[in-house]
Amino acid sequence: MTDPGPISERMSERLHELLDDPRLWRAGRRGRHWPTLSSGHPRLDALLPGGGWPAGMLTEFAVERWGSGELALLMPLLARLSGERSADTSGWIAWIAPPFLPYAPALAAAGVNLARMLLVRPRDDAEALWAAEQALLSGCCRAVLCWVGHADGHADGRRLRRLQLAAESGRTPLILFRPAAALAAPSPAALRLSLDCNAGEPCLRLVKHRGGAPRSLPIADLGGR
Amino acid sequence: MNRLAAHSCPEPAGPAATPAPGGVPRRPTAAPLWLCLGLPRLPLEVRSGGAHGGEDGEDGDESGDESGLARVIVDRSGRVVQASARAAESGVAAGLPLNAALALCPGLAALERDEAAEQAALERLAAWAGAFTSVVSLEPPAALLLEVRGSLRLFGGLEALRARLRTALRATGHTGRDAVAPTPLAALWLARAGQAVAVTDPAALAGRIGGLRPAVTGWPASTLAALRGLGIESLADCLRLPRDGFARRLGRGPLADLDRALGRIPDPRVAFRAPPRYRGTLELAAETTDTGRLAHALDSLFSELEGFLRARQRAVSRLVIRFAHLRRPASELTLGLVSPGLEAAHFNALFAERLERFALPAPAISVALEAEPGEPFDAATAGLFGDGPGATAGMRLVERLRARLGREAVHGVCLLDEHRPEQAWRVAEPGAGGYRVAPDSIRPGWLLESPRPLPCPDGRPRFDGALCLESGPERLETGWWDGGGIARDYWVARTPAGARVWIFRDLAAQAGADGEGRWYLHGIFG
Repeated sequence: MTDPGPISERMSERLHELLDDPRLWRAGRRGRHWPTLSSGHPRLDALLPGGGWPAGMLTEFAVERWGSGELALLMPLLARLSGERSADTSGWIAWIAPPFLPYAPALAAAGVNLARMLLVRPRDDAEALWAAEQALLSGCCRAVLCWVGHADGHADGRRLRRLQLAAESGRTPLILFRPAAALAAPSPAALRLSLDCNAGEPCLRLVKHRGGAPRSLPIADLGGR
Repeated sequence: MNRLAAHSCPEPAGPAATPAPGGVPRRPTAAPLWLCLGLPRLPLEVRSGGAHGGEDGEDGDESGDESGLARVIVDRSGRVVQASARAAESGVAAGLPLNAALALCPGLAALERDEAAEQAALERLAAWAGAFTSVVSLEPPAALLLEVRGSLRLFGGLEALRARLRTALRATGHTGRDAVAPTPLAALWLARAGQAVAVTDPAALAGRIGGLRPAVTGWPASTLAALRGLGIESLADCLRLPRDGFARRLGRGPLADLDRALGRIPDPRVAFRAPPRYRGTLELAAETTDTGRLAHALDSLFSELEGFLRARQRAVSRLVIRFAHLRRPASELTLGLVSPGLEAAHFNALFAERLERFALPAPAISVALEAEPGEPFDAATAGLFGDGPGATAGMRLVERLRARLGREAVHGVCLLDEHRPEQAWRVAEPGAGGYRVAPDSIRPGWLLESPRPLPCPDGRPRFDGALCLESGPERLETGWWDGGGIARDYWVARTPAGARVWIFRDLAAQAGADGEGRWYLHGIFG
């Protein structure tokens, strides 16, 4: 009789390697899916799969009305990323085509290092997506935030797939803000969020995350607001 | 008999092969070593833009000059000076009258020789060659002499240096032949003969140049005819002639040339001094608006510029590119670099992005590149960003984005010490802003470019429905001294949908018909 021990050990090692691969989709997995970046809001971290924003991946964020807390959700992360004094002292926080001026005094008050801010104002969605891809591929951004105005048009599935790949290859998180209507179409995003206004109470909803059920969190519960 | 080759002059480099007392062969380290870079296709290259043209003829090396077209360069007397590869296939060769050439190859395009452009190209290449050695000498019409002894160690040996030189030359779009010899004249003759050899041993020199034909020396036609009359076929034959007889029949000049080539008498060379600015022009093979062709032509100028800059250890932060058109003034394009650079590949990428946005008003017939070397290159590696490889990568991203989107579309932000909300910040060069004291009062994450008046039909401001005032007012009354004064009461308000906004009542405004002051939306709490 042969000793099954070492073989099964090797097999399980291989299996775990495979299971740890972030590219592998596993239904029903609630554990740590991919490397994440803590959002800085404990309640939000609890909601997000893996405990934070996906690092090096595309996150889609549909916001029904500006002013329902979309920046507040991100601020602690941006403050941390912009302030990190790790080995490399470079790295932009790219803001591509924001709908309004990101107001420097408010950012500074939230602890964002303004020297890392890179504000890009393209003329249209096509240019915005191009700029986002360049920023991701350059590998010199710590986070890329991009706003596109139209539900359909340029940000189609193929384009999003390219962005997702660019985010992976540049190991940079991309948060793509899109109109609520865009959520109707399928997307390769690792995470899709929606910020809705339900009867005057903005509420963050988890629309899709790989292998998880939809969940939601009222913004008022985040605290600090 | 006193023969030319046996003439007993002291060998300048010494007996290199003789072992030194210690048994170690003595190396003539101080003896100069000359590399001659011959540019045999220069007449065609300066007239046919981006020498190894376009996408079609990418065979690169030898006759990769012009874009596969049948062309000849003719001199003022109407004789062919040089024929393109395609023309040569039909039998067109240098020296033919143009009529004969046209008879051989009916579709032939004849271009007049532009000697001034050749000289300018040669000088630019001399400046470019400064990247390989500090001693470059012009050898008009179409060769450069580089003293490379001092550069061997830097480049890791002669063969490595030659390989680098060839690769870099190819990038400039020129075709060249290089030969190495201990004397400049010998190197020149070998290069003219097309022998890509490296003769480093002075003792072997006479043997190597002996095999060359007398025509490579560039002696006057009468001298060459006289040599033919004597039945002399090679330089070795010349060297076998008695010195005095040779001098009497053919003149002192050729004899001195032979002596110089063999290193018997010194051959001082005037070192080329490059101009302070780089200025390169390239005529295009045909009028074009094709961005690919333009980029290709500029590619070779960028390569020349890189050599020019490397020779000086300088970087540039601004490039000016001019396109000449047939019947209208030249158009100009400026490339600004965020941090100074010197790499052709980098310039090229920037230019490609910029060209996409640049509307060329008419087809271009030539392109010119101008640049002024700025700060020393070492300063360029340390960007605004601090150091590390990411620093310049960060600036490159800014450049790439700016090249396509425009300079004003990419910027950073910084805080100003100012109470007026719209003036408490401004755009800045990326990387310039930093931590500053943030105001302690509440400020929205989004600011509108300019305050937006809000309707207030029943005395209450409306935005997306009637607004509910949450906190305030914060009175800002400031700026009266510079004429841009404000007097406002700011409030945080909530829309019926739950969005929070930053609004103010303008205290200076006259009360409207509704009896209230005027309300504005100024920010959004994102």
